[in-house]
Amino acid sequence: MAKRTEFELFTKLSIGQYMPTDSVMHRLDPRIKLVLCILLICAAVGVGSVISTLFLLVVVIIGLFLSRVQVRLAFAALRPVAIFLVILALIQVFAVPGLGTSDDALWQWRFLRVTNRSITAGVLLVLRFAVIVLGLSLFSFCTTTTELTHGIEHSLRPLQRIGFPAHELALTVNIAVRFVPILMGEAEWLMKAQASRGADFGYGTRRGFFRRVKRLFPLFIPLFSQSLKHAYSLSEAMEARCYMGGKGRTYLIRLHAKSGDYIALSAGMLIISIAVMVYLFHMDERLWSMWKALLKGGLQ
Amino acid sequence: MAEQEKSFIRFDRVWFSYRPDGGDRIFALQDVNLQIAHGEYVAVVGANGSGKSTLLRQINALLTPTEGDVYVNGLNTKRREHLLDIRSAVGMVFQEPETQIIASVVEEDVAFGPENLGVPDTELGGRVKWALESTGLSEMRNMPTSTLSAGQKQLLAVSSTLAMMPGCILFDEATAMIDPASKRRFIQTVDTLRARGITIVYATHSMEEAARADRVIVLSEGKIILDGNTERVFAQEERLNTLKLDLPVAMRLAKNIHTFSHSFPENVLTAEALVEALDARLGGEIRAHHTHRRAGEPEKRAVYWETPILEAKNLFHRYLSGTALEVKSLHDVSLTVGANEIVGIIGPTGSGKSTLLHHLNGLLRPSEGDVFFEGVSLKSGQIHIGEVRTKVGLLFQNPEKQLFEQFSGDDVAFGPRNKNLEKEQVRERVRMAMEMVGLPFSFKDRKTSELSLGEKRRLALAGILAMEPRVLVLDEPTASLDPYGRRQLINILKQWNTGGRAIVVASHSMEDIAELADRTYVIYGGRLIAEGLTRDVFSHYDLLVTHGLCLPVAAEILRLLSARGYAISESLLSVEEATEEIRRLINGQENRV
Amino acid sequence: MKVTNVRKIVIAGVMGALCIVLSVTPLGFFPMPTGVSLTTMHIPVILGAVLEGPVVGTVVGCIFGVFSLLRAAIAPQGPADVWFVNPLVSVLPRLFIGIAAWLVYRAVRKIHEIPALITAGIVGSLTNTVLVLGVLGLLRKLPWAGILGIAAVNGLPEAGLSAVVTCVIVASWKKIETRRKGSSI
Repeated sequence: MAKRTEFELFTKLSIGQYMPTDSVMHRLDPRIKLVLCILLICAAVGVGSVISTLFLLVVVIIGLFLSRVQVRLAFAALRPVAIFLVILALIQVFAVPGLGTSDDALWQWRFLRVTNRSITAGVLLVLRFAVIVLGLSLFSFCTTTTELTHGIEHSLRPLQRIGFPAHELALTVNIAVRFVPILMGEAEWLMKAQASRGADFGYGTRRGFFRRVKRLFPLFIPLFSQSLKHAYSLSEAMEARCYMGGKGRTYLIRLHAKSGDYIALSAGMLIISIAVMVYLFHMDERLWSMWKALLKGGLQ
Repeated sequence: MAEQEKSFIRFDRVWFSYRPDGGDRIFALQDVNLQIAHGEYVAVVGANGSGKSTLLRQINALLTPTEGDVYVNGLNTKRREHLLDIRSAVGMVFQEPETQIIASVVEEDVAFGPENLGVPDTELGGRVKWALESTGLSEMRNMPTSTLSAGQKQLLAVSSTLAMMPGCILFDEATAMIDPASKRRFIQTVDTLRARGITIVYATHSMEEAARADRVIVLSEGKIILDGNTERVFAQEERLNTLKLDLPVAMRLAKNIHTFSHSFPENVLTAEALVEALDARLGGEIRAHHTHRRAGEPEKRAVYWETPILEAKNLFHRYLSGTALEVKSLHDVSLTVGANEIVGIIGPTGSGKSTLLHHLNGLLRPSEGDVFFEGVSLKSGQIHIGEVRTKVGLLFQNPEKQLFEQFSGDDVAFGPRNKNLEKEQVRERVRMAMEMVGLPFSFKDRKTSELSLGEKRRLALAGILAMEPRVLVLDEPTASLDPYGRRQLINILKQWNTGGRAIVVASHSMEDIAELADRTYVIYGGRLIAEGLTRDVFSHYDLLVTHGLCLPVAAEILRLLSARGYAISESLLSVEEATEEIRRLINGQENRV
Repeated sequence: MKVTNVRKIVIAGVMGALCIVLSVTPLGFFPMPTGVSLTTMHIPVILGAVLEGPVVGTVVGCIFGVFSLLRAAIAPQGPADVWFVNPLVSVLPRLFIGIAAWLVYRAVRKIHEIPALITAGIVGSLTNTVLVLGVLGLLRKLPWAGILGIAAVNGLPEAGLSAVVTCVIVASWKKIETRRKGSSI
């Protein structure tokens, strides 16, 4: 097995794999996917109901099945952080004050308190995380970067009429995506070149904060100047090709939403609404009370 | 006013100056007057810093004159309202392949220009198709731009510019950063555009490329020194030499031949034309009836030193990557460098030259195989990796990028300082290194940012030499340099080598390898294809061509002659040797077969 | 289109790319003897704001924030990622780094460039630390005691690092005159 030296950076750049398995999810209009994704994240974060979040989780898993990508790939992302997840959930349950009044304490020992709300908070932490991780994994499996930038650009386009620089922003994102491999290459080049001159990037030794900071300069200064030089070259090229922003521009690629897309959109919004409703109507508490009542009734 | 409309592009007493952050005012263009008509093919030549790029940028209004005016189709470039018309009439292809590509997908990049011009959606598809066909990139239409090679990226830039349907295209040293094979394809594309009537303004360092134009403008320090018909301009050899410029190789040969064969034309510009002229002169009398072409491989030379100073044995390297990024690898590559040899490495882009070089100073570790410095294995751990990097000095391609200190002297001192030497020792090393590269020690207080490209290149080299390496490993040392800068660097390297130190140089420039290297290795697709004496390697023309390489121009001319049946010894490399060989032919003395 | 606008778009994009590159390579992490690393990936946001203004700074901050959210969701590695999937933690605070840095830069600039850069670096970094930790506190993810601890042990040195790096990089790029008149050898 090749013993990789510290200089090979490109192996770290695999964020969000696109899986070309061509499914219903893949064929959706990227704008729809983008909107649903954002709504999902907002719902997962904003809705404080265990039932709602579970519901969303189930929906996302169904989505994963529909995408024909192996579901366990998505779950594999959770593995590295499983421990942290548990620890942080436990912190929520035991150690964070302010979740519930002193009447609610189910268990207490010095500064550790467990209340109804803190248990809910802990469980929610895990569930929310799962929903967002699986949801975004699903999104990245089905959407190429190009689709994504087109989606962003097209969704924002109507705002152009009120002067919002939609195309400019989309172009910024596009440029950022394009430049990541270029700048990684420059970073790798610099690390190699400066190492060849004897530069030592091993921060391990404790020889003073500012001395260690100085070691960053042979990397950071040229990396930054190269980045800016590239930026200026690119802006020259854009000007030479008459870029004038979004006004008056035509487009080679136009997205056309099909009926299937609208159905998906409606379905998505319906799901989100259900989740929100469950939260707003305190379904959690009601179900919990019903459950307690059943238990009491059963015990009698 | 009628006169104004006749010319496409007109410069009227143009001056351009600027003041770089707090520095002195620099006059980049001084009293430039010129006119370019529709359909002309104009080359612009001059040393680095002579104002070529500045001149070109005046034409498409990326810069506007400080004094005077520039008119394109009668429109003044200073007027903002004309900007769109001017820039859609005059397109530009820049030097760097990476930073003139805007989109992530080929067809979208080509469409970018016309989209900006508001070309209706229905026409866009057609334009993209046509533009890609013109440069032969039609198959790449839906590919991500990151997967294109540098040469292809430059062709894409041409397509993208072409899609705006300009009447004129400016080329700002567009071939400086691509390999020879891609260069030839690019030049052919330019010829095609020219044939369609597009006006071409071509700034370049390469005299061979300039010689293809109808008209040549020679710049020096912002002034036009010569402007006229290509043959007439190149006829003024002495003038050009004082301006630190060269003649195309074919022309130098022609002039040499003219000295002993007075009826031979002096003003021959291209290799093809020279061969034609020679064919005519020799009249086909002494043609042999078989072509003398060396097949097979060059002879591997036995190594006579006791221990080579640097040796790579059976290197394998696998560069793992997950996404659509390049996979470079080496398959069983071996290399030996004797204590005061100069070894050359040639191969097309992506062949693994750089990867191989990076193994030589321990930067990369091979998956299999090993590298030995003075007989000691790098893998064994007997020699500290820091030691290796000092003793084997590696100069990267475009090393100016690594300069980070504000003052030049400090940057050269970076290497020695990393070795924790005494202050006096560091100073001494810096002084010696700077002198070796022809920079006076007083330059140490100059700001790095104010140096010219040639000076920066030499400063970077000094930074490596200050570590007192025993072996110098160089990756494309003359890339992007003008002929004068190139000559300087080659002399520095030769000088350094006479001190009994070894050099390994990888280059696309066959002229460099021919001049410097005693022995040469040919790498292709990560594999070692051939090795041997440089002369020998270069005489195996078929081998080189099948692997995407070509010969130095002088050798190429002889090869063309030999292809026409003349008996020529093909182990010749330089202009002088070529001249002698042709003299022999003309005198018709011996029949060397 | 004005030259400056094209340049702003490109610089915002390139600085955004730089944030991403720093996030996924060792360059973004400066290990400390305490064991926890200081991060440098927010510095391009400050640089963008200082060079091109608050709008660019906000856009770069947005790119940085969204990327940290995406990475936390798609390839989570550490405890912070568990929180960062929440856009209120990862995106919202980052939108303010640019504005804060720019305001300070503009104010102190009247005195001299170098202190302006240093303070911009400090303020930008502290904005990042304070707002992210602040949101975590408000959302009851961590006890306030813990938050103050992290802010002190990590946030302060990180601010110092940002200050130095910002100052050196911008001074080098803009060729700002420093007291030194020549090489030190």
